[in-house]
Amino acid sequence: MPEALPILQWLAASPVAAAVRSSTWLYPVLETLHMIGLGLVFGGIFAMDLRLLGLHRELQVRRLSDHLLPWVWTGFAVNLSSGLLLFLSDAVAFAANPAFQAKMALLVLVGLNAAWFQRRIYADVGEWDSGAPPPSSARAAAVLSLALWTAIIAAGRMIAYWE
Amino acid sequence: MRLIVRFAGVIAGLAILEPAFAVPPAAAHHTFVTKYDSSRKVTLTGAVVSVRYANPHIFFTIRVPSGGGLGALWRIETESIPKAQAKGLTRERLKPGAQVTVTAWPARDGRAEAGLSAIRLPDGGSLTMRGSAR
Repeated sequence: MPEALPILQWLAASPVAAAVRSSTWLYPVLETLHMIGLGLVFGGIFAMDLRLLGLHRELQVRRLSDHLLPWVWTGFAVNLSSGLLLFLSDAVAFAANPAFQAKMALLVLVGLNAAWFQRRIYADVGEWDSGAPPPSSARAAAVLSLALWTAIIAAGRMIAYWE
Repeated sequence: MRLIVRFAGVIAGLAILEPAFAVPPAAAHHTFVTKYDSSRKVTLTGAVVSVRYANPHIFFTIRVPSGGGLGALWRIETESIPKAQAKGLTRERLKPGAQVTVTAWPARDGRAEAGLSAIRLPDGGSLTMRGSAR
């Protein structure tokens, strides 16, 4: 392994990182929280994306979004926190793990897709809020979102199988 | 029915997009069977040099003496903290300096690393940590 960044070594040596590593149950508790957060994120996004693909057009997109997105963000916050703590426990190894690197890059891409959707596509949601077929741009964003989130989950799982 | 067909199309699309991330079917638990060769075992005797008693898996190194020189340093991987404690492999028993004999599955890539099957400790205790590499 090439020389690790000093900041990563310092993080891995911190008391918080040591607690996550050495505590009998903290690590599995964090893993459990990470699963719950994932359920909230992927569940909400999956339901939203199916609607954006044109399923169940009687459901108003705005109301569905208002219902689901706060839970998606809650799940994201849970996973950002639990994920950060898990990362700290072995920061040098995680940072060098190709699956972890792929997961972080994919998270950036999925964020860009969501931002593009919010600014460019969702702005005109009034025209296709219910009954009408969603524009092809919305469908494309939904397909991309489902593909990227699936890849993120797969990459996250592959961290344990790759060094 | 139309919805189900469309849904199936979405899933099929995902399957086409993601072949690179397919999980190897043999990978039943973490890295054990992907990292270590489940078809053979090595027996190593030596002194424990360092211990990383940590989740998700505990690692320790042992120095195995060879004819002259320092001997070979082997990196041994075993279970999570709760599992290790339940099997009796506690922090107190797995300490630097302890003379141990391990039976382990060697790394597939030929490095001096192995997945722990069983260990004999200085107090005479013999622990089977894992029956198979799967």
